[in-house]
Amino acid sequence: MQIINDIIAVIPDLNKAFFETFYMLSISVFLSALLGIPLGILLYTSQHDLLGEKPWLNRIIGFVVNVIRSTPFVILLVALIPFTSWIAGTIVGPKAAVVPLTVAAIPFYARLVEGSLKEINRGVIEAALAMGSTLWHIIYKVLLVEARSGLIIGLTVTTISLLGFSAMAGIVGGGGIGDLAIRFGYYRFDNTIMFTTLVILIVIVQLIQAIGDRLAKKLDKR
Amino acid sequence: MIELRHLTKTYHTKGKTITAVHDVSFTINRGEIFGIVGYSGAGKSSLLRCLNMLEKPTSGQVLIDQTDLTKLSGDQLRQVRQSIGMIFQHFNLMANRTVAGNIAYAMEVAGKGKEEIAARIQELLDLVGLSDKANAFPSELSGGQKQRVGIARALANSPKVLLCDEATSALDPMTTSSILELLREINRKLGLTIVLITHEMHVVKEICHRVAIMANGHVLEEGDVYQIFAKPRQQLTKQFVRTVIDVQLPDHLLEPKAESELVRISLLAEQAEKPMFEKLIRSFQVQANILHGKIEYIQGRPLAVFILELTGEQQERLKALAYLQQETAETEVIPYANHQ
Repeated sequence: MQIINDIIAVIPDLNKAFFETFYMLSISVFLSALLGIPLGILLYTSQHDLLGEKPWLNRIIGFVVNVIRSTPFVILLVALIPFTSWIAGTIVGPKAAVVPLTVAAIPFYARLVEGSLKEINRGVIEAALAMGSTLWHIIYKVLLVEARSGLIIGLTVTTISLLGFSAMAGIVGGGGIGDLAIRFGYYRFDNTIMFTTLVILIVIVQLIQAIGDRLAKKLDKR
Repeated sequence: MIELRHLTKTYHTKGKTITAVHDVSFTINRGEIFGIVGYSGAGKSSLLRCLNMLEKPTSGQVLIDQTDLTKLSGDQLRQVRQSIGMIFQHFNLMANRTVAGNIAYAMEVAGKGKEEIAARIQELLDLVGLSDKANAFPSELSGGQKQRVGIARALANSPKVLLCDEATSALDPMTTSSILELLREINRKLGLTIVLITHEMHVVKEICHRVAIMANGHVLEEGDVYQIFAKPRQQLTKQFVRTVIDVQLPDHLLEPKAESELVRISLLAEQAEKPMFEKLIRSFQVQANILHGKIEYIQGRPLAVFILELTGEQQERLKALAYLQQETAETEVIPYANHQ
């Protein structure tokens, strides 16, 4: 009974943390899709011989993407503080956490986008070119349509990774469920809170994965 | 209608230079089905892709209705491509678009309106015999059906030319025949010029009017299909022709015999009508025994191949051979099997 009372006692905290997580994730996932897809397309087309390859552009973008991806998130978080302050107007709270989360997620998702584009049969692109398509036609009527289930799967992976990263965003006072688990559960040795939050995180991850898989499967007509 | 002038295509890969197409020139007439035959690596695929600039020629010109495609800007080229349909060995349909969606794409690219597209799709599906498959996805179709969708898509913008890249090579013989029949029908009905590449002489025999034989980037021989089948000049052409009309003797008939000779003769339409055998036996002191024979109809005209065994004294056999040489399209003595 004590456990139940303990859990009831942290419900307001959990509630707040849940919405903080939701806030951070929804904005950063949205932004990383918005910017990661074009970046992934750029990575793909700049090395495709049929789509006007530009090796130098590919190398530059690839390098920047790799630099961000090789920086541990905690370091990125701190290093971006001036940038975060400029964009979000603050360096604490969920609003501030969105900035480094998005910066980390864009190159991550861009590589996943590139990967799913690479699965498109070269012949399909050749056929589209033979029909007199412009690059723009090919991007939004061929590439995005053919790779759509891969894009969804990639976004699912990105969302779940962001959920993990958001726990570390607690360092800038980001809040959220992961942060609650670390601060209350882990640092204060409060097993009840730690396990409760853990269970909630597991449920959220399962849910995101299930929705993503289902959507991807529905869109995949191959 | 299509004219290639000194077309050359070279690739540079890993420090090596490969010439896929080497100084090729020929003309394809309006409304004809033109075949390009060669083994893989002969350069026929690169050549075909030069016709719509999917491959940019290294030098030379490609003229379609007097327009030099090599000189066009990106926009002009895209315009021209809308009047050149293309179908592929592996169909290259978009997996996530329905049959109707795949056909619609070609017209969307050409900037056609929604209603026009919908009406045209039905027309095209009727033409290729897939009226009930508009909403199916390619994964639900058989190979032959996929190629029919490919053809419908290629015809969507009413092109002047249809390029076929090994269009039947991934299909079984029955389906191949039905697709070839469809192509012939389209050629007749719409007066469409068709250029196809293939490694199967059978395809050429079935539907082509003229053919070019390619090897190592060169066109070795080019001409009317019946002429090529009847009088192949190059060794490679003969090889290709024999894939369709060869006759092979069983081993025991190839054993050497005294005073006799094996002769392969081929006869063209007019020659087949003459009483040649009778005259052969009457005029010379030889016996002629027919061991094997086959008649193929190419473009509706017969082409016959026989293997004769001529028996008699050498003097008479030589006279008979000279006579055959005169009266047939080709006469060739087959060497007896050599026993080591």
